[in-house]
Amino acid sequence: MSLHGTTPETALDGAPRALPAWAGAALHTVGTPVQRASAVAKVTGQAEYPSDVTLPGMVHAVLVRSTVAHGQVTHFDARAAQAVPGVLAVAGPQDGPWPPYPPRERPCVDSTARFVGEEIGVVVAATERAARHAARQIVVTYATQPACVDLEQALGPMSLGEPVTQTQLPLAELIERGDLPAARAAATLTVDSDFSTEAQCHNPLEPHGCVAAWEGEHLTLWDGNQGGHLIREWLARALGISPQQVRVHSRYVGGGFGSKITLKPYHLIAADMARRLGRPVRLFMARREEFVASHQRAATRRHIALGATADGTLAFIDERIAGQAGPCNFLAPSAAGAANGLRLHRTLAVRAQIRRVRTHAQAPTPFRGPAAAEDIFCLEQAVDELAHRLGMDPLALRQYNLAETDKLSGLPFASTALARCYRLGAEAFGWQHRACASRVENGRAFGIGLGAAAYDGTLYEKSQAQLHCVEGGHFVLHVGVSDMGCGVDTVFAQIAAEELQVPVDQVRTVFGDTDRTPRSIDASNHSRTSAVVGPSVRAAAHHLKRMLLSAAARHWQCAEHQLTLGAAGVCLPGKEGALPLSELVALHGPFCATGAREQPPEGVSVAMFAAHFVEVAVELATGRVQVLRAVCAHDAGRLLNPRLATGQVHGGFLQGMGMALQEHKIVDPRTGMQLNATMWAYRTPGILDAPGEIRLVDAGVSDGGNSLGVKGIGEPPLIAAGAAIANAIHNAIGVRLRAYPITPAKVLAALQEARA
Amino acid sequence: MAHIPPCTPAAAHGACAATASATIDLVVNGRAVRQPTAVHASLAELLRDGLGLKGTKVACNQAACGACTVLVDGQGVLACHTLAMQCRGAQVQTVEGLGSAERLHPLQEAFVAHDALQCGFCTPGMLMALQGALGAGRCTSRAQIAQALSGNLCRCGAYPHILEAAADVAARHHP
Repeated sequence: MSLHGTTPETALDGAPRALPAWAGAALHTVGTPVQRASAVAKVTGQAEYPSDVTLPGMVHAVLVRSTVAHGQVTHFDARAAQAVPGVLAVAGPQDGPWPPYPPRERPCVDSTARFVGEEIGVVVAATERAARHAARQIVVTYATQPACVDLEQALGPMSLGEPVTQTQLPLAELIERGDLPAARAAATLTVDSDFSTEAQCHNPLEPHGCVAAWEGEHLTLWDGNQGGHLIREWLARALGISPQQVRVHSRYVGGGFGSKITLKPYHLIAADMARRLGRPVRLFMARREEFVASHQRAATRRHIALGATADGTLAFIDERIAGQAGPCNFLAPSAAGAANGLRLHRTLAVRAQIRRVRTHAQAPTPFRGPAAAEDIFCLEQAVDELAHRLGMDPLALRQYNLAETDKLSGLPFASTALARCYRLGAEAFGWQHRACASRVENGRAFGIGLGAAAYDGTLYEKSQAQLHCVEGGHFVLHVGVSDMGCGVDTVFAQIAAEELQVPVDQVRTVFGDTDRTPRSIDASNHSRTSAVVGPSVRAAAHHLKRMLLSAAARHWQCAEHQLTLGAAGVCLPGKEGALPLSELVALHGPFCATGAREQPPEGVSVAMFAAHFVEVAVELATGRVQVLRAVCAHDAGRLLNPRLATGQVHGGFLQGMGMALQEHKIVDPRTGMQLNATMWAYRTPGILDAPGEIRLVDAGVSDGGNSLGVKGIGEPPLIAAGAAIANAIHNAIGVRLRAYPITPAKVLAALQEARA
Repeated sequence: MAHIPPCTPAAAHGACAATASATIDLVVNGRAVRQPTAVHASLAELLRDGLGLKGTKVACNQAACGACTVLVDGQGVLACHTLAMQCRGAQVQTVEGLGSAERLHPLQEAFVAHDALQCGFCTPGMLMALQGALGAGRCTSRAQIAQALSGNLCRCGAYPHILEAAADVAARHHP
């Protein structure tokens, strides 16, 4: 993904060599279910989120959004809005210059509208209520142009567009490995099917938004994002100021799931209006805006052909894919992809022709397992179909075609425990393959299914962490990350405590403030925060420990290697009593060490793996699918905190279940307007939809990709969920549903068709 | 529920009624409060903007997600779609009134122990919905707990841990 602006190679020039790997059995804090550090603040309502921030003199901004899918604003009549009591400013496209967003493509407010909901103006008022009321009074006249709001309109019904013969990024990509004609000739059985996935809204509970305040030439932003350092750098670039003039606070963030990675127009508009008015500006989306203008997972269509020889050897995967990009190339790469599906199984040859189709719809932005989830939801159904046609247990087919090398890079995996995922997951589930539609009781058909997932873990970048030993002998860890609920408030303190050999409650973590933290990561994404930031935290702890022991050695006039660090302070064997760190700090002043991320491994490919096993019940009279239980076996490398990892698996599985069964943006094909832009009409899983059990089986082995042995656990639980559910539905009713989400209406229609 | 005041033409006109306001008395987290309030203001606006009680979250403002759940006279309501005026003379409890970091309420303790949260934005609403259901004796079985929380969305998907935490408390509440 080109979000990061630097290539992995150049980003890590000069990185230090890795510390020796931890010996698994000796760990005292890493791998234990340490309590979430922010839990008490969150259950008492004391955790301050960006949307809770109130500043003296703060005023409220509301965006004016296009009501047409494609056109030009010819007149922006603000007179009635300006007359609303409390209104301080109304600005439209004519009131620029507006800073560009994304860089070089379109100003953050402009007269050109490329989708329904694009930013064409802003109102600032004393209260949010007055601003919203005023925004409704603005009369906008458009010169509309023909619009293409979905894939059907862009490509024609059921079409995937022209074949892709060469890669022309970002809109066309051709992936080819192996001798496809030979592999096709070797195959004795081929399955060919069409699949589709729909756009999915991130719908985090805390809407996107920020509070922006200027002090002279310095901007401070309280913002809900997945990494303050990325926002700081991009914002500075767009505003034409230096990053040192921007401070971003993003301590607690009410959910992101990918949507809060990148800079968005609202950041720039809030900053710009705050500068114009000389007052702090608060700008948060209403829920409807979350749906229509805070980006989405792209809708995709695909044709998948799979071939096997009679013994079940997977011969080839040949795919044609179209994903719905928005109106610009910048965010197009997350519209569709195939790489992770192609590295999941051993095959003789693979080909994927990927087309990312520009439309007059909001641009896709990464959503937990971007491109990979859409891909693997469909591919793993096709693999199941192949097993069914071969008369094989779908588990056995997958185990037989286990990938040992990464098909795309040709490199061996740093570690792969996919075989363990299959074995341990099947054991925990009690997997016993059974024929389709073989169990119906009281009008409910029961079925079981599995689906696997692979996810690349190679998106490295430079990372730094800082660790202090301060007055009183306490440790304070500074990491440049935001907490969206994944546990960054907890796991890095665990890593530091592990390396220091002190209890975790002696380490406090400072995060979510770009002025007080080093650049640990641009933003949390791609299930990599632990693997990128963790090693730099460990390196900082390693250096700090050396500094403390060296100071103690001078104090005691002994050799450093004789000393150990522990809960009580520095100990010298044979010497009564430890030297407390509080005393060491009192003598020498505070200590501070910086750690940098080690070099990435060479000659290996790092990937996470998973296998999900699911049981469903399908109500034959209504078509309703209930997921009864799920066993989620994951190879995430070493789990830093099994309690937090379990939460990630619950959440990922449930979002995958939502995508598989419920979530569907309904867009009017004539106007491009979303018809279900409310939380009650856009259904996401509630507590009554949740399976009775979602069980994490830790099938991972410590990974050689970094000195911690960690990979990641954020996204694979979503990616693996969908096909496992769809395959279980097929097993229950004997009918395959290839268009997600698998709603009751689709199940009923499929059952009727099968009976006819 | 408290007496609902008659709707003035200005209040019916929504935001235009910026000047129409009244002073209301109510009890928030055990403390008597007298607060000037716009007649169209929601209870969530009164709590968050008027009283600075930011623990109550407004996530959808569409009466659909339950994040803003607070108790009015012991009953769970959606603060985003309850008028502040409706709460004249009422006892209102928010997450800040449930417990403090030093003295956690058993529900809060259980949420911490079971890690029944991720981003934490739905957590205050979840806690208050459970507190309302527990008080009404509608929280004895896992099925009842799930029913009590069926109007509260958690996009992070912490439901399994939330159920565990709530069942833990319910078992102690109704042994």
